[in-house]
Parts: sequence; structure tokens; C-alpha cells
Amino acid sequence: MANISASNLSIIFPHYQNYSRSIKNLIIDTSLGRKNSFKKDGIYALDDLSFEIKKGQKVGLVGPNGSGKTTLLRVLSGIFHPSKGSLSVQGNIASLIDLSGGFDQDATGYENIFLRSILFGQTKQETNKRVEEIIDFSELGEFIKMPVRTYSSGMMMRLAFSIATSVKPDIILMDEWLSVGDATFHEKATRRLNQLVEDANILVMASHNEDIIKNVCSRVLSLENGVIISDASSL
Amino acid sequence: MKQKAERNINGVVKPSRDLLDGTLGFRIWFMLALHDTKQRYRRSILGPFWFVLNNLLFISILGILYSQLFGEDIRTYVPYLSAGFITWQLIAATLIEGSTAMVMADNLIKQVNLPMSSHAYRVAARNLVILVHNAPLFIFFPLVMGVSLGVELLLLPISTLILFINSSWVCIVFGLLGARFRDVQPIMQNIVTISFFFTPILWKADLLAERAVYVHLNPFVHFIELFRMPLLGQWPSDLSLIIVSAITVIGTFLAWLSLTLYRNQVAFWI
Repeated sequence: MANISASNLSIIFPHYQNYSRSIKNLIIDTSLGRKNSFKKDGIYALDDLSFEIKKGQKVGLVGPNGSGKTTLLRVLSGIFHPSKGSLSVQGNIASLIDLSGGFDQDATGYENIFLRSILFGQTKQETNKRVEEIIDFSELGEFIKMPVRTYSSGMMMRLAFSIATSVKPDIILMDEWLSVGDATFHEKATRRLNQLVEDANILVMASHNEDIIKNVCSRVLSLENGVIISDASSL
Repeated sequence: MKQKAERNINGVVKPSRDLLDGTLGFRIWFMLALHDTKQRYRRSILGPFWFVLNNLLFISILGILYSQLFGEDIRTYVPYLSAGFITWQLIAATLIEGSTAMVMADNLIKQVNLPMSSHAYRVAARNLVILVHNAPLFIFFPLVMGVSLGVELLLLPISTLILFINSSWVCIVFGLLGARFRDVQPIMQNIVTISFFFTPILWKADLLAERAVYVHLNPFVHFIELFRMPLLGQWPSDLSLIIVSAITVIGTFLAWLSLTLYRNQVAFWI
């Protein structure tokens, strides 16, 4: 079962000045009886959102830069926790938000496959079964034994994509439709991604590309300044 | 309508459960700790034994020199120095690296929803791995110097476990503090440098004569005694055991409390 439901969900980013990032300043201010300088003034990145995403829905998030799309994806993926309100997410999540971040640059591609898979909840045995398939798909060949540091950005993306898409999730979170590699790889990747999205129970994708939203999504949430301004079945 | 902020993914993740979830997820942080160790030595042939060799030389040379300076018997001074110094290395590394446990894991924290305590365990575990590498030296110096070791050695695995528990809560509490306040690490660095000289590692407490009693106010002493006394063929004092137990319990509670209060803020801080 896959389901996402949020009620009165708010994310408040604490806004710290350099001054208030120092514990020395805090101690001095407190001992001198000065107040307020450490009071948090937060920014509402998401403001009182309530929505429900049911099984089978492919949701597109649209809105200008800074409207809260990526923040919402990060909340759904479990990285940010609601400052107010509540959120319930049921189902396995694959987060394709920031693919190439998080590689250990000095470890080999092979080691990184294991590191990532285990961090994202797979066991070593499960990864062992999939590792050949991942290497094959990435087309990295002998480079898989080299440190990721030596990869071109295209190679890194190919590896990241191959790892991230090697499991079948219930819920996919995506920040922009992924576009990876050169022409031939791109075609292969697109096919796999389409299949993955089709098989998944829920897709939540932030995008600025209207064509992709129209093609992929069955529901469109428009965000502005952290508020949902419209919730429609198309753009 | 005011609701309590909560999040529920497949029924897990509550701030108050973070410490437990992290402990149960030992596979993840143990893998990361081993990975860190491997990374650290990737480019050196001797690997982690470079550390051991370094300590071997340092303790031998310093042992010869300082036993003369302090007018101590080299046969008791060198084992005393090696046990104290190697244990201190773990304490120092914990205090310094612990305060950046969360900050250094920022990439992971922004990508995966792991228990926050696992990042602290990772730091504690990788320093434990170094301590274990050094274990031969623990035994080597007393043997060479002819200390009669006995049944007290059985305490060492327990001492190691206690040190690991304490190292973990330090990494959690100071890791959280260090994520919020960026000047925690330099402060810890200062504390460690000064504490090294204030802690009887190079010198013995009885040199202080009637002021020796003040040494017991230093908490580090009692953790070091947990290793040093068995390696000198003696049991640690009751006072040391009581203080260490108290610190372990209070510290673990502090770790649980600070995770419960601040765990969900870390992603915003880093």
C-alpha cells in the first residue's frame, strides 16, 4: 500500500546569523543578561499544507524558484521533519532528488554501489545479487574499479542512476525529470525511468518543464511561497 | 487546529527512538566506520599499523627519557605511559571528531533518513578500530618490562565496551552541539590540549603529594584507570568504577535527551 497524507504541514527554516552560530556568543550574552539575540526567527518554507496523495497518482509539483518544491520533496523523503503539523508516508521510497551527491569520491565505483545500496536500506546479500546488473547498466566496464574521483560527471551520473533505479520502489520522488548520459545511454535510461514510473504506485516530481508534466503527471500541485495555490488534474 | 509535529514513515522514526534505532542499525555505522578506516590508510603500505609503529617509537623514546626526568623506575613507568597514552588518544579523538560527527556527515544527512545517532556511532566505532589496532602495544610494554599480568586483564574487554558507550554519547551530544554552534570544535581542541597536561599520563598523581586528591576531580583519569590498572596488574579503585558508571549512565541519558529534543533540527542546521 502506498499513501502520502499531510495535514497542516509546515517547515520553518531557522535563520541563523553568523553571530548566533557561536556558542561563545551565547554564553557571553546569557551571562550578561542580554536576551533575544538568539531567538529563532524562522522562514516558512512550507506553510500549512494539507493534501493526500493516493495510490496510482503521478503528481507534478510546479511553481517558481523558491516556492518550496524541493523542500516538499525533502520532507517526503524523510530528510526534513515537519516543524508543525503531521505527515504520514506509507511505502518504500526511492529518492532521485540529488543523485550524484553523496558519493564517496575516494572509494571505487564498486565500493560506492555497496555503500549507497546499504545506506538506502538494502542488505549486503541483496546488493550482491544486483551488483553485476548495476555495473552492466552503467556501462562503466573497467572504470568500476577506479575511484569515483576519476570519473567524468557523465560517468558519475550514469553510475548514480544505475544504482538508484535498480530497486522497484512504491514511491518515487524526483527533482526534475532525469536526463543522463549521451544519446544512446539517454535513450536506455529514459526507457528504464518510464518503466519505473509506470510500475510505481506514486510519483512526486518537481519540474519546470511543462511538456514533461503534461506527459507524465495525472495531478498538478502548484506551489507559491510555500503554499499550494492550485490542485488540478492538469496544468 | 494545533497538532503535534510528527512524521510517520512505515511506522518508524520518532525522535525519542533515535538512540535505539541507531543502536539496532549497527550494520550501517559499522560499515561506514570500517570504510573510514580503509579510506584513511588507502595510500599507505603499512596501513593502520603506521599508527602502531608511531606509538611504539613514541612510547619507547619518551618512556626512557621521562623515567629519567621524573626519577621513576622504567619498568613501571613505560607500561604506565603506554596504557595511559593509548587510551588518551581515543579520548582525544572522540572529543575532537565527535564535535563534527554531524557536520561531516552533512552529505548523508541531506540524502538519507538515517537515525542521527548512527553518525555519532560511526565516529566512535572508527576510533575504537584504531584502539583495537593498538591493543598489541597495551600488552607488549608490560610484558617487555616484566610486569606480572594476571586475571585483571579480563577487565579490558569490559573497559573497551564502557569506553565505546561513553565515546558514543560524547559524539551524540557534542555532535549535535557542534552542528548548531560551529565554534564547538575549536573549543574542544583547546580543552583536549590542556587536559592532556592536566591528566596524569606523562606524570604520576603521587608527584602532587598532598594535592594528589584533586586529580580525582578529572573525569578522564577514571577512564584511563580502567585500562591502566589492569595493565599494571591491579584492579581499578572503587572510586574510579563508581565515577565511570555514573558518567556512563548520565551521559547516555543526556544523549537520549538531546536526540529527542534536537534530532529533527539537525537537517536544518547543517
